[in-house]
Amino acid sequence: MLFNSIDFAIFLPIVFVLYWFATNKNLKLQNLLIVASSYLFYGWWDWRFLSLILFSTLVDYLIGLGLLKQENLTNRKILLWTSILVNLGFLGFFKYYNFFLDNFITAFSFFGNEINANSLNIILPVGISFYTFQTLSYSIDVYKGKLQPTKDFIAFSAFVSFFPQLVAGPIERATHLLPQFYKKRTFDYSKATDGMRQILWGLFKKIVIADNCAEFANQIFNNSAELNGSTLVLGAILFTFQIYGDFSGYSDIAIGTSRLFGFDLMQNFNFPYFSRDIAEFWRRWHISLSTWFRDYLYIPLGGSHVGTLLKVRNTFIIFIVSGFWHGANWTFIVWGFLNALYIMPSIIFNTNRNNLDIVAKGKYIPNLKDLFSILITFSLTVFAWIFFRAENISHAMIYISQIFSRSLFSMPTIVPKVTLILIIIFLIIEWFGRENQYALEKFGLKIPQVIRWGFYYILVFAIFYFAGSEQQFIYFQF
Amino acid sequence: MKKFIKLLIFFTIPILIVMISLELLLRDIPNDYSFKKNYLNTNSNNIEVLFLGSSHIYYGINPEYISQKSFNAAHISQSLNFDLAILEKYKDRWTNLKYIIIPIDYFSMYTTLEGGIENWRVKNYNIYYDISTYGNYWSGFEILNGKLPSNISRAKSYLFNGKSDITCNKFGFGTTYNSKDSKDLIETGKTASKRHTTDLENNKPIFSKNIQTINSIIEFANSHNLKIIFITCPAYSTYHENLNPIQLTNSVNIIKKLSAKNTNTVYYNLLKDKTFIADDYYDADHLNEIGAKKLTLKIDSIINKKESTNAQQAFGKKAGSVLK
Repeated sequence: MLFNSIDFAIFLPIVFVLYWFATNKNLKLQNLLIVASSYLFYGWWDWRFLSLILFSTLVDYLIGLGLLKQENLTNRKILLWTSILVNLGFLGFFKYYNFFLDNFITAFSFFGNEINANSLNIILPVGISFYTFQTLSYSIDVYKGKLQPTKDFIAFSAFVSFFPQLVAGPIERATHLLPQFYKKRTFDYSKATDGMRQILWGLFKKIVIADNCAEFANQIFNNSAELNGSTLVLGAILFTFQIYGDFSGYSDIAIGTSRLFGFDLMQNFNFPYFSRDIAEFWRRWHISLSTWFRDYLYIPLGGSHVGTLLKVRNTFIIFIVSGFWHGANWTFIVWGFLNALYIMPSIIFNTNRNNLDIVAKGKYIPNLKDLFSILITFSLTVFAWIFFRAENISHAMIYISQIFSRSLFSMPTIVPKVTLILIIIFLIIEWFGRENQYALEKFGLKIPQVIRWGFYYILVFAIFYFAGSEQQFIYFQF
Repeated sequence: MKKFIKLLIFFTIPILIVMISLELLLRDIPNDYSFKKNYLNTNSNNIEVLFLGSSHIYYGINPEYISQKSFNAAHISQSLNFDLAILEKYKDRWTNLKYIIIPIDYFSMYTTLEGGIENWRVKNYNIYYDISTYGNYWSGFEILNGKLPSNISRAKSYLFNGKSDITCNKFGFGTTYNSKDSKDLIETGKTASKRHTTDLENNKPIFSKNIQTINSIIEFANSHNLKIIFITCPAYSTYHENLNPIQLTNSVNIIKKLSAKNTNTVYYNLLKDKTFIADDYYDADHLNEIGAKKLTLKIDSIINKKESTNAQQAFGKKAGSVLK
C-alpha cells in the first residue's frame, strides 16, 4: 500500500480508530493489531512475501531467545552468524543473485571461458533491505548485551513489521523501537497533531516536489543523448530534488503516522541540502542507514580510533557497501565510491566534525562563506546523483561527457517553470524550518488557528493541484 | 482524543464537500462516452455497421459516408478488451448489426488500456458505460483520475460557457483532428512510433491475453451471425518506417492467422496503403477529415462488395433449391 494512495487514506483512520478504541488500550491487543495491520499493509502489495517477513521475524526471535540461554561464546557466535547469514542470505538471493551471476559470466568470458547460466526472474520483495537490517540490529545488539532479548513474540513481530516504516525506513534500532512496544501508550494530542502536520508536509514533498521533478528528470535522463549540456545539468538538479522529496517525504509520513499511534521514530533527514561539507551532508542524509553502518560496520572495523590509513580504508568500505546496499548495479557502487572520495579530505585532515551546528542559526540568511560552502557541497552531491540515477555506468559517463561540452553554455531545451517555482518555494520553507525536526514542526504555532488552518488548506490544495503523475517511491526498489 | 478527532473532522469536511461537488459537476458534463453510451442505448438495434477501436478509428472513420446505418464507437486508446466489453454490453440489442470493424494496429496486440499510461480513461467506461470489469475500484471517480487543473478548467467551461466535452459528430467520428491544424509528420512519426513500440518479452502475457480477447470477439460474432473486418489503419511513412519489424510482423501474422481460421472474418492491411498521401494526415498515425473520408469510403466499398457477394450467394442457394 502506498502512503500517497486512497487505500492508505482509508486504511490509516480505520487502524487508528481500532487501535485507540477497539483494543480498550490493552497493550497486547494494540501490538496484535499493529502486526495484523502491518501484514495487511504489506500484503496489499504482494502477499506472497509475507512469509519472508514472518520467517525473518521467527529466526531472529528464536536466535534472541537462544542468546538469552546461551553463555558459551562459541555457541553465541554461531547463533549470531546464523542470523547474519539468514538475513543477508535472503537479501543476497533476492537482490544480488542476478548481479553476481551476470558479472561472473562477464568476467569468465573476458578470460575466454564461456559459462552457461541463466539469470533468474526474481522479484525483489519491497522493503527487504530495510527490515533485514532492522532485525539484524536486534540480533547484534542482543549478542553484544546492549539489549535484553524479548520473549514477547507479538511485540517483536510488531517491531519488525511496524507498517509506517516497514518498506522504506527509517531503519530503527531495536534498542530504540522495541522497548516502545512494551510500554503502555497513551494518546497525546500535541504528538498526534504534530504527526498530522508531518504527514501533510511529507505528502507535499512527495506528491508536489518529487513527482513533478520526476516527470522532467525521467524525460531528461531517458533522452539524454539528444539533449544539450545545460538541460542535462537541469535534469541532474531535478533528480536531486526528486530523490530528496521522495525519500524524506516518505520518512516524514512514516514518522508522522507513528506519532499517531504513540511511537517515536528517529529523524531520517535533517535538511541535507543546506550542508556545508560532505561529512555534514552524510550526518543529515538517510541518517538511519548512515548510523547503522557506523554502528555495525565502521566501528567494528576500528572506526576513527585507528591510524589514518585504516580510517581511509574503513571509510571506503562503508561508502561502497552503502552504495551496494542501494541496489545491484555498478552505478550505486560508483556513487558510494565517489562520496567516499568527497569525504576523504575531511577524514585525512580531521575536519569531518567541523560543521556540527545548524547553518546560520538564528539568522535569516547565511554568510557568504556558508553560502559558498553550501553551493559547493550541493554541486558535488548533484554530480554524484548522476551515477545513482543513470541506467548503467556508460549511460552516466555519456551523460557527464555531454554536460561538459560546448552545449553547456546554451539555453536548456526543457525548462519546467512551474516545477522550478515550486522548488524555490519549497526551499524557502525548508530554510526557515531548518532548526526543527522537519520544516513545518513549529510553523505558525503562535499564530491564530484560522490563519494556520488557512496555510494547511493551501498545502492540501497544492497537493491536489500540482500533483505530478504518480511515481512509485524510489526507495521501494531498494 | 475527542478534541483531535473533532478537529480532524472539521478540517476534512470542507475538503470532502469540495471534492464531492466537483465529482458531481464533472459527471454532469456531457462527453464522448456519455454521448456514445446514450446513442447506443437508444439506437443499437438499428445499427448495421459498428466501428470499434482506438483513436485511429475515432479520427479515421466518419460513418456519414457509409451506405448502411453505422456508428463509430471507438474512443482514444480503447483497447480490444473494451471493444469486447461494448459488444457484450449490448449483446441482446444488436438486432440489425451485420458488420463490426476493428483495427489491429501496431500497438493493439501489445497493449491494454488499463495497463498503459492512458489508464486514467478507464474511469470513463466505469462511470459512463457502466463497464466495471477493468481497472481498480478507484477508477470509478472523475476527480481521482484526472489532474485538478484540467478538472477545474473543464468545470469552469461547462458552468460559465456551457461547453461540453463532446468532440465527435453525431455518428461518433472525432472532429478535432482537422487538416488546418496538421502536425509535423516527420516529428510525430518518430515520437508516435517510439511511443507505440513496446518491450516484446515483457508484454508477452498481454499479447496472449489479446489473442484470447480476439477469439472471444470472433466467438461473439459467430453466435450473433456477424461479420468482422479487421483492419490495420493507414499511417504515414515516417511512422511505419520507424516501427519495430518484429512487433509489426507478430501483430499482422497473428491477425492473419486468426482471420484465416474463421469464415466470418477478413483482414485488410492498409498500413502502407499508397492512396493515402501527406494531405490526408493530421499527424503521422492519425488521419484528418480528408483522410477519414477516404478511409471510410474504402471500408464502405469493401462492405458493399461483401454485401453483393452475399446476395449472389444467397440467390445462388435459393435458385439451387428451386431447381432441385
